[in-house]
Amino acid sequence: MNAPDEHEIILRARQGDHGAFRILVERYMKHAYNIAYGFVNNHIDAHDIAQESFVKVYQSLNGFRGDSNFNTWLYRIVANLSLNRLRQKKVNRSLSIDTMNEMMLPCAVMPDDGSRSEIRNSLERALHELPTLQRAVVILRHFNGLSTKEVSKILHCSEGTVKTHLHRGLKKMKEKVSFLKDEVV
Amino acid sequence: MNIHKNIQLKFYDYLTSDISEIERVEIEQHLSSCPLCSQEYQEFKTFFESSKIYCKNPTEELSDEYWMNFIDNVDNRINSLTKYKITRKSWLQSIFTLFRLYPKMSFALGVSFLIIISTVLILSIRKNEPAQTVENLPAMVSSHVNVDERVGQYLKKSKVLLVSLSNMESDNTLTDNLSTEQTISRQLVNEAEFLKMQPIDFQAKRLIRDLVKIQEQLATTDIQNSETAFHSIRRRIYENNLLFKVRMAESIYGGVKFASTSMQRGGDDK
Repeated sequence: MNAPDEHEIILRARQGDHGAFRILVERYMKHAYNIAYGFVNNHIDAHDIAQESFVKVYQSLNGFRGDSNFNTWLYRIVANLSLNRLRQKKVNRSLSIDTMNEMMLPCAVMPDDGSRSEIRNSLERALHELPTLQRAVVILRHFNGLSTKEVSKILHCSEGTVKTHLHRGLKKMKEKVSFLKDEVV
Repeated sequence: MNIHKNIQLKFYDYLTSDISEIERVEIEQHLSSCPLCSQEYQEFKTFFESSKIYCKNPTEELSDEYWMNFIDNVDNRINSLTKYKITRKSWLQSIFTLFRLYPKMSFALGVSFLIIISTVLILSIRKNEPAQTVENLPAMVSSHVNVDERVGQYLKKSKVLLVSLSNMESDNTLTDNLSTEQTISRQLVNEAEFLKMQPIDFQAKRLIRDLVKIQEQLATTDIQNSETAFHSIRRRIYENNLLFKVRMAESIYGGVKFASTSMQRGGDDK
């Protein structure tokens, strides 16, 4: 569906057409989920954040002026909610390390062989050891394929900053998971 | 910026082909001439590709059913919010409906409510007021005490005047200067005018009235030229037994009520 169609769908959703809103949810739910997962690294929180983001979108759809693209606006909401969730978790410290490990469960959903899941866990750990902005850039640009311009709009920073953080973030991750060099065929 | 760092910053865009032709040529030329950056590029490229392979998209691990439920769950969340809003709205609407359907009853209820509220408000305000005007009480007492004192003073001065008139030798009347007694009499008449207006005993008022008659006569008559007037005053003092009455009243009046019994007896003595 092209851009004018999306504009029309948004207009219909603003007028109270629930079906139009469902189309928007269906179109962007996976992206929203992926971004949330990138930040929180567990399915439970990712699920909750993605849903909460759409509820927020529904509530403030009338305030959406269309200055930016709808997806940029939605991803900014997802990123903000994810960062808030991470801050809360830092404060609460209620989850034990074991529980965290259980929740980092891609391998639990889809079984992998031992080495693959080990590499994946190492990558995820390296990603989550990055500073917040670097991590956000890597998640949005590298793992979710958004353009530099989109990322700069979502994170309210310049494109140069996005490029710098992306390069530094990936370089740090590369150093932490150096054994990948030998793994790749 | 360092040329090597500048080139390395563009590796990602070079790998994703998100770069202009000029920049692409610049990078390729630099990589061919710089072994350090070339090695750095190879490592970066390896990590770039492998990280994408190993870090699979988490949504791919979830079933279609999950995504169908996802949309329904979002719907449910939105509906629960809307229901909450409707509940709040309907509460207000029911009140308006009640007013529209039963205007008289609603009016009566409204008025009753206002009365109750205003009563509660008034009671609470009164509660906060200081208990009675205690502060004013000493002033009232003191004013009352002042009147009693002034009556006492009046009686005392009147007694002195009566005594001096009684003790005066009748032969010396025409030679003595009575101007002082006359001045005092005028003052006492003025004071009596004030005391008559005050809330004092009836007996005291009657005594003051009798005394005023003598004081007025003394103040207005040219006694030095009229011996009969002077004798008339003295006779009135004796006949009315005024000295005794004044002493009795004076002994009691000092902030206490007039001794009506004594006065009565004094009056009976007449």
